[in-house]
Amino acid sequence: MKRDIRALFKGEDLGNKTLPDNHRDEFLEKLKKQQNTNTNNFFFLKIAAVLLITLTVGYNAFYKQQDDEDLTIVAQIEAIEGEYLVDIETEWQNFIAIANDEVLVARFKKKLNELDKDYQEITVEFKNDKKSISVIEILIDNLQTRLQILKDIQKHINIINKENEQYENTI
Amino acid sequence: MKTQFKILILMFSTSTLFYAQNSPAFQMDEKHTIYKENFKTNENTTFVLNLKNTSAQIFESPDDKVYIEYTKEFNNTRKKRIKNQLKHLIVLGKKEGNKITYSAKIRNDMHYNLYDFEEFILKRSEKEKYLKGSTTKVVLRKSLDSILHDIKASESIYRNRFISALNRKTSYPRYKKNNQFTITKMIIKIPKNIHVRATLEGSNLVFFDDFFNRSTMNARNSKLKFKTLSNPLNIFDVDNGYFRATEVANGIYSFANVKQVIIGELENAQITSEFTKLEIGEIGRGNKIIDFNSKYYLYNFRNDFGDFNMYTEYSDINLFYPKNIKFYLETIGYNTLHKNKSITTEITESCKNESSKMIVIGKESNPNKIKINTIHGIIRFGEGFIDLGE
Repeated sequence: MKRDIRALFKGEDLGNKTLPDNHRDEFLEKLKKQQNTNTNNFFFLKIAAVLLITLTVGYNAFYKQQDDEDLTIVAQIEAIEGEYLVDIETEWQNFIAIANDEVLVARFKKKLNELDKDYQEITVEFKNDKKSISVIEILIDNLQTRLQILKDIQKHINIINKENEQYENTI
Repeated sequence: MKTQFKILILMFSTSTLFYAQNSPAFQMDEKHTIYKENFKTNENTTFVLNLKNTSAQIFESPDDKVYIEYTKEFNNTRKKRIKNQLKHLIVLGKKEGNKITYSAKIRNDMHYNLYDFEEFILKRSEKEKYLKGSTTKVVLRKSLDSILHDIKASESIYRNRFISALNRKTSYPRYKKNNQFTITKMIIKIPKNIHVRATLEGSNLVFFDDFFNRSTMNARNSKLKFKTLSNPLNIFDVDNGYFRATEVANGIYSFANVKQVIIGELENAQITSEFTKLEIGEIGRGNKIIDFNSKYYLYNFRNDFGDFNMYTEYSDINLFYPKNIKFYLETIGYNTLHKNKSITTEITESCKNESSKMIVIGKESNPNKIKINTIHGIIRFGEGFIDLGE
């Protein structure tokens, strides 16, 4: 069914609504204001975000670097400690296998316990001051001393036992 | 070479001892006097010295006052780092009646730029390298002068190396780039008539003058270097670390697990030792040694050494015969191996472990007597050298 759509608007009062003369300027001004406000807020927000991220990353990177360095040293010392303690235990077992003097074994046990106690005390110091060369030296010296005295006493006993079997002369 | 240089820098920045009193031509940016004080003393004064992780130079005071000066100089160091270093220093001095107390505790703050920790730690902990020294086959007799030289060199080696590094700074690009130094100086001057009671831990002390003071010292993990120690009331207790003295005359000395004890001349002293390596340049009169499981190297005897007595158990004694004098030597004990050149004598363990006279050299009427009581020991004798035969 054909129909003229112009007939639909007949009777509507459309001609009375007129736009003000400066509506275009007003609209542009309002738009400008709105744009300015939004741009400023976003700009500062961006700066704040960048600053925050930079500071966070910088702070974390700085302390992470220090932590990483500290952790590296701690890991190295722990590795050395582990290696030495295994060797010390092996030498201790070798020593008690050849020593037939209970007093000697007891004396060595006491000495090793003293050195271990000393080591634990220095370890506390090391945890507080991981960059101290002297503390690290003392820690390593302690482990080396334990290993050294166990090796030396075995050598001492072996020399006496070996010579005992071979010689019986007089100067 | 780069690493060696870094080590030099570190040595310099951690200790005063490698650095002579005379300042180098090098100008430092900042100087901080941490502590400077003097205290008047009298003959009843006791000076209590408590040092931890501290290096100090000790001198004889020119008058009756104790002088203490502790300074730190910085070059090309950031303010924050300086502040941080100064923050970790604990220094306290006071006088109460006849007691003067000075305490210092220092925490190191080394930066990684200056030091390759990884390399240091790995090199320092090498077992093979460390234990290499024990495989020496022959020990040569050292003269007293040679021992004194060893003692002197133990300090000057580092100092001279550093000074030469300073002079050659332009040839080290890294030095030029970082140029970051901390020079620490702690100088203590002590009048010679006062009693010194020192407790030292992880510290490094050099006594630049003969030390006549009555001294009661307890040192742990410390490095001590003396000229003459001569007070009859001296009592030293040294645990771990190092002890070097050109002369020890009088006093009681105890060494436990000390890595190296070197004494030039020993006279009227009593030594108690265990698990320690000791070298003595010349044995004088009136010495007594009690030992358990240490290594002794006795290089020379004075012409009038009189009675020299040792009481040892599981000890390893290397004794060079007295030169140009007649002497009496006897060993008493059991289960001890005696080695003299190619001749070996083993005194086997008796059923009852009873001591008996094992070897005798010379006439007992001789005024110079060496008497060694030994159980489970090894005694090697030699003229010019001793074959360890290991």
